Amino acid sequence: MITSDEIAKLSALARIQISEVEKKSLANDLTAILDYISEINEASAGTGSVDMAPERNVFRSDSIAEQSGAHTDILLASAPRTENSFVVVKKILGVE
Amino acid sequence: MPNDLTKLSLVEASEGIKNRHFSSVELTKAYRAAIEENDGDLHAYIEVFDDALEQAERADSAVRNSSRIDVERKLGRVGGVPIAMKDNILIKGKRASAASRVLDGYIASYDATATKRLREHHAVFLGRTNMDEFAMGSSTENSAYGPSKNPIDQTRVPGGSSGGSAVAVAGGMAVGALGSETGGSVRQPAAFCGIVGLKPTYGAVSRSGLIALASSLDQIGFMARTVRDAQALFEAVRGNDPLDATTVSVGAYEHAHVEKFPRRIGIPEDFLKRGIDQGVRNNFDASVAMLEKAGYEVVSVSLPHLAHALAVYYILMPAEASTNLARFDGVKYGLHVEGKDLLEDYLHTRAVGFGPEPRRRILLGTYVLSAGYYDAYYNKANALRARINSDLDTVFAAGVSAIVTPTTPTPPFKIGEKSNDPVEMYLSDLLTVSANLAGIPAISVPSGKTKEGLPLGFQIMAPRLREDILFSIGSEFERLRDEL
Repeated sequence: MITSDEIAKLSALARIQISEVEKKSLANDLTAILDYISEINEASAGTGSVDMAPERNVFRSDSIAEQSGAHTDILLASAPRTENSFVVVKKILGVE
Repeated sequence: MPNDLTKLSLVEASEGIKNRHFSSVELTKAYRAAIEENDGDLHAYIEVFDDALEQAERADSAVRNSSRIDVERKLGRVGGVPIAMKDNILIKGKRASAASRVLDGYIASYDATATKRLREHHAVFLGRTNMDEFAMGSSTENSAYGPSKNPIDQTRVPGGSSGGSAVAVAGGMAVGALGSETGGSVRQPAAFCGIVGLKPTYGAVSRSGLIALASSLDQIGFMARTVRDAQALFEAVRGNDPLDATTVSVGAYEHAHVEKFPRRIGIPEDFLKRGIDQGVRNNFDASVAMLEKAGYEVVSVSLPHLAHALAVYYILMPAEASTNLARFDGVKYGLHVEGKDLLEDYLHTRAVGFGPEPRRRILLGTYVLSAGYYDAYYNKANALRARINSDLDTVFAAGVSAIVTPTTPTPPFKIGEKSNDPVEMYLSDLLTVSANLAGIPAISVPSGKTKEGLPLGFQIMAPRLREDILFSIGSEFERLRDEL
């Protein structure tokens, strides 16, 4: 059983603001989903894990792949806020 | 020149262009007209590109300026043919949204590797297709741009998440399409719309430029009217890519394909006992009987952990999604909603940007990865995934060339029927998720219709790197079906 308080905690961790009304409906949804997926508790699996990558030790060559600044303009054009050649974000130092 | 160019298969269309029976411009115009006429109702496309005819002209000029031998090399089997692209595969200079508001205004700054390879062969991109937001869904109802409709019955869903791509192909509005798969998002809509859907081996096709959902499961897939068409698209884009370290070389395939395979198919009978609609089961039994009559040996196979595949999937996929979607924060690209400080910028941007299903899955993923539950859910699911994979390995090693099931547990359902019940919706993926968990290739081939006339699919799964088995059995299945 997931409570609205737990949804509040998860939404803070996930950085998504969620309204009081939606907290209740999400609590119901997640409770139902967890009920379903909790069936794995009945399975015995031992330990083990899966490594999906078929290739091993894939490295790039240690060389300069791109000229400095080659993609700066096009990448900055995507950013909501820029100043000169920087992405603008709000100050985080000295904020409580 | 045939009267209706849109009736040709992809391979036929490409041959027609290379042999100058008609031009890519003529073919593209025919598809543009079909989109104009039908897409108002069906809503396969989020955007139809205004430069499709210019792309087609470039393909035609490549044909005109090449010798017969050169034209084969330059255009391959996809040159000049109009293709639809799911809205989570980047095309440089075009918008890409993954059907989410959080990518409002985003324009792709580079081509996905799959896009680049198609472009090098002069394929024509008609437009970007509708999908469930961030590929999260099985009906295309979770799109921020509204649902797509099944062309066979417009009151029903086309499946998802690559629903728009399926509708484009089934509705005669593209000769083929790219989609993406995390748990069946190509095969399930293909089955629902009566077309072929291929999910390749994990690592066969580069994901560079595919907007990520769950990276240990994601794979670009192909939708077309015939198995041969899906194969042509797959072969045009597959292969090693330095930009996706999980990709395997074409050489690995040459090594895998030297063995001839026995005509023996396996059915996981225990697994299929529950949760399958009777009409679907009857259709499946008829398909199996048809293959048996054609000389295939049919055996019952034991895959004891397959029963847990869907639960395992709905733990691992949201866990990976919650981390992959952390990048959408309103700073580097896409939507930005202003708050009083940086934290509020994040909270508001993500609240406005993500629709209900991404929120659900991000929170679920955050839950199963949190300190108190990590072992019980995430680690346990990973251990079970290893068991599922070794079950499959054992069956294949015993000389079973392919495992067959219906593609979906039910025929296409009504729009709105499952949209308020997430668990009910998730059950749509029951039969498809195993191939993604195991990284094996799988294909859905149309297998006829229900009494009500709704399309159904026959799923074939093969060992890693053995797409050749899928193409061989799939093509034979098509031929036998059409002879009936």
